[in-house]
Amino acid sequence: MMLTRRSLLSQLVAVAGGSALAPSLSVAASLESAPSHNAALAEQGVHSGADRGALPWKNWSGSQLCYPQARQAPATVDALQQLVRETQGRIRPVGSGHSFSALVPTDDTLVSVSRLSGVIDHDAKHHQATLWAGTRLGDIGAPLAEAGQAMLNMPDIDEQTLAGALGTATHGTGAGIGCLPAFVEGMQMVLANGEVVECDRNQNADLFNAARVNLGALGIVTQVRMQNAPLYRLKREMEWLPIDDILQQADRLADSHRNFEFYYIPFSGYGFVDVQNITDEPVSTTARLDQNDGAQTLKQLRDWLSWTPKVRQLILSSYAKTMDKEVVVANSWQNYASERNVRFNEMEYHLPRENMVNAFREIRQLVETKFPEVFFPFEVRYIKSDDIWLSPFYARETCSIAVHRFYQEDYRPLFDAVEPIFRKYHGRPHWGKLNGLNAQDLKQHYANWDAFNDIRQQVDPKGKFLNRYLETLFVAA
Amino acid sequence: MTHRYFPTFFILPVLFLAGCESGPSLQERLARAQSLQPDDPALAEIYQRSCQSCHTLEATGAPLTGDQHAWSVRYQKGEAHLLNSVIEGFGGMPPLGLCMDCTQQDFQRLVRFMADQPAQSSHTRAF
Repeated sequence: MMLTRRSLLSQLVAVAGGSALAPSLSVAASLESAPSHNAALAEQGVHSGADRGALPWKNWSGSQLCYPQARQAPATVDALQQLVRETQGRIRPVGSGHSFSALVPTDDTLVSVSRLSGVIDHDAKHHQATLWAGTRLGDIGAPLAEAGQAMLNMPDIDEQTLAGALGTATHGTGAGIGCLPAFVEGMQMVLANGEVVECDRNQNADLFNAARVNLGALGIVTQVRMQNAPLYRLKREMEWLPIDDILQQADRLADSHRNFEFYYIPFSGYGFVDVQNITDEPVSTTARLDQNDGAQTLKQLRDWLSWTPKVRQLILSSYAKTMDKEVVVANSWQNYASERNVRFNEMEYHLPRENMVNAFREIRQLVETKFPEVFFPFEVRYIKSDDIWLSPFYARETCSIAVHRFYQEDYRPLFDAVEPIFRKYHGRPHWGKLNGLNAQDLKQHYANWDAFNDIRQQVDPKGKFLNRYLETLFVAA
Repeated sequence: MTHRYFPTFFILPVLFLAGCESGPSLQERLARAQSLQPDDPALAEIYQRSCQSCHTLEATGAPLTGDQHAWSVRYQKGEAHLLNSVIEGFGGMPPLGLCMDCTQQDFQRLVRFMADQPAQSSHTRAF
């Protein structure tokens, strides 16, 4: 099928562009050969690390790098307590490395809770389950299904650990559904003094309010009690439409479907909407887009046609019109996430819902006039408000917009240009995504910023869980 | 993603090639991947928490554990190349392949196990 799809694209390009492709090919070549920030980091990292006999830690995109003196994954809570108690220097918890922001890097000790994984117990009456915090989101669905439960929502990738997802306020989409931390009913953590503490709405309530979105700055989360739902099945429908039609319908679609999001393909005028609703229909699927192949195809088209936006739009829109609707019925936990094998860096801001359309239009205008090298789709999702202190969704209905750059290309010019638009529309950055906000900027967005920092100082007075980035947020400010 | 028009001349060669494919079927390779575990319990524990969830599923695009054909193509580039992919990350696999506490030797043993290579490989020298 990919052969057919790529051939179709090639034919479209050939018809439209004839033999005049050379300029764009040279643009592509210069992009890939430019010493991007990431490539420079990676090169520096691997070689100097090898010289020192240490393995580097890097995030998924390669934009964050460090050489920790120790990398530990204790097998029990007792071992974790001992490790925290005895470790000199800083400790940073690490999940799956899917955050783009500088939350993880440390030269001291990285601690993974990946050996604390799985479902511990469940409460059938209240549809709650207690899980080890090191469980990958993708490994939660099956054992939870055996207990007759399913998570209320999931992100569009499921590589993250539960602890990492909670720490960064990771979210799925759904105007009536909160981010993952909003499903948390109780937590267990190991604090800087090695003590284990439990918290929920009644017990250590302030710590609970701070810990549900904690940036890994309060301690190491070991267990989480999640509010789930009885097992459910979702019908997922994806349809390609002109972007103006999507924007016009977005509010209605968000309110009339359980889960709604849309993607926009830059320089095409087209996007696709993705809606999900609970169903009793039998499991089924139409032919599906391989999103990784799709990203490569968009990149290839960028390489060929970035010098001529009009022709690029003609090709992409012609192509989009040939797309059939996709319909997939599956168990909920199998219908949220997709494999993401094409690496990228990402900036995502959470805006007041009513600001989405204006912000989106400005970002589109900026990218399509000044950044012909962009090819990754913009992603727009909806999230319900919550009451968690450092949640970007605190006390406001939210719409998030995300922009991406291929991991081998310098993300900074695009993100530096887009960020002022996000800020103009009162956006709060996703904690795990790249942003340029400092402590003062963030404090304006979070009414409980000082309360969080007070709790942090109480449970970690010496800053054992701070790295340089977190120090700039909580100490230097 | 589908198209309304499927030129027959594209489909026929694909069917022909599929018909000529030899070796174990996908179902057999998946069954084998899901049945294999390292003999060493310590290595098995790392494999289960860090590798198994992707290397036993076709949809992830990761080479299946024990799929000699898929791995031999990669092994031809040298074991050092494979180990570098683990340390650097590759495609959907994050750097260090989800094992934040693994040593270089752990990665080497895991790669050899998944690639169905002898524990003491002649490729050792390359790294």
